[in-house]
Amino acid sequence: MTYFKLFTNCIVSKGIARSLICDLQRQSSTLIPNDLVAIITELDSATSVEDLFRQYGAENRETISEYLAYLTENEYGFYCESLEEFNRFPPMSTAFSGSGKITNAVIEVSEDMERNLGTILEQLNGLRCTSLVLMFYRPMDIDGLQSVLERFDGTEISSVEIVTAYHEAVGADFLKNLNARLTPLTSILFYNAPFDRTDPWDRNIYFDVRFSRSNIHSFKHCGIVSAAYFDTNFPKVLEAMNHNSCLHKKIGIDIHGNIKNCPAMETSFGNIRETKLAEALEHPGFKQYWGLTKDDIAVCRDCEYRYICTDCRAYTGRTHIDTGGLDTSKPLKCGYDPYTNEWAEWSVHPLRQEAIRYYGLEELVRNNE
Amino acid sequence: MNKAEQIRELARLHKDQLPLNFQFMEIIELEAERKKLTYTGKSLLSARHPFHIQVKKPCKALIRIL
Ligand code: SF4
Repeated sequence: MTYFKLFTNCIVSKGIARSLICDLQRQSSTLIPNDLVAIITELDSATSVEDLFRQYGAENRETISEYLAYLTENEYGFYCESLEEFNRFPPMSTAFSGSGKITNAVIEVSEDMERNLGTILEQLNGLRCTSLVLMFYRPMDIDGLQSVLERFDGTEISSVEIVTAYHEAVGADFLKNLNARLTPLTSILFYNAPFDRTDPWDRNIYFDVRFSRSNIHSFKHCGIVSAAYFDTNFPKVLEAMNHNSCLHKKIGIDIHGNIKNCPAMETSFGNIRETKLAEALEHPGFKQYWGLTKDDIAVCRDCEYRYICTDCRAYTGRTHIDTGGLDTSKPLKCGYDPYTNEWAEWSVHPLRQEAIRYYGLEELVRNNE
Repeated sequence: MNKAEQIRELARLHKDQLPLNFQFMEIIELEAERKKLTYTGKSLLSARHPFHIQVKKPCKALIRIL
């Protein structure tokens, strides 16, 4: 008897109308028909290839052969010559764990907060946060940016992404100066720029540089769901299978210093002036969304992209609440329909208009038109 | 030269050997690493490079604003 085994690093995410196979090692995802998922499930439960052909009958033989050829050619799986060999490959654990109490933080940095950034970073470092986004709703000169980045010396924060307004001095020399010192800066986005541009990676500049014409004046811009933000990699997919893919181990500080799950969310767990981040984290409500996976969210639970997509709880369609009072509606800014497999502009959908008004996103939607 | 300057100088001298997309994040000096690994007598780091630089970008987009 011959058996077929999917490589354990390949995960199938079944959608209502089609599915996705995610190769976590190669970091790529491919759409597959649901019929193929049925075949994979059969084979994975130790049905032999011969039995499978028998079960499906002569009329499906060609299709099944094609499917098997597809899986082997694309190196999604391999044949085993016996059940004993098949059983030698146990499934991979899909558990997710990490030592940090917080892994990432998003801070809207007011001028006042900029002066106290050192204390905030110290606290984040203590919580073993490794990635940080700093949003400055103003132009920053080179000295300002350098002095912000200097405060990361001695911390274990290994990635800092900066969003700041474009100004005339931003150019090759500015970037060279920013690069002159070893810092954890991994990307910088200049909004309100006279052009849209993503600089190709340059061996002399050790961070990504992006310019955008958009005027980012608040966190209301966040929460976009698009294929450009899909990621297939081990930590991302395993985290999404077990936790909320946006809010798990995230901390946000809004422009007024309020400590939140995300700067765009309403609930505050204290203000940075009088509450320590570790205290906010212990607040009973702080982690309420951490365990909410896409499998719990309306519509997303039927979507094939649910483990490579990043969720948003700040802006949702406001259509579903679970028994515990958690908002389980689909992210507002997602235009994908897993039932038809079509993408559309999210903001024009008639059923979203109420939520757009609720969040005060009318102006943002108008400007994007 | 202080430590940061020394590291920067090393990175500058060897920048063409760095794999594409690698970021200047965590620098482990090979000798120190070798000492830690003496029990196996092996180093996981390539002997051609005097230091190792790791990509530390987050595994997902932390904000999605554009
Ligand atoms: S429906 Fe949209 S938000 Fe939900 S998982 Fe699919 S792509 Fe992501």
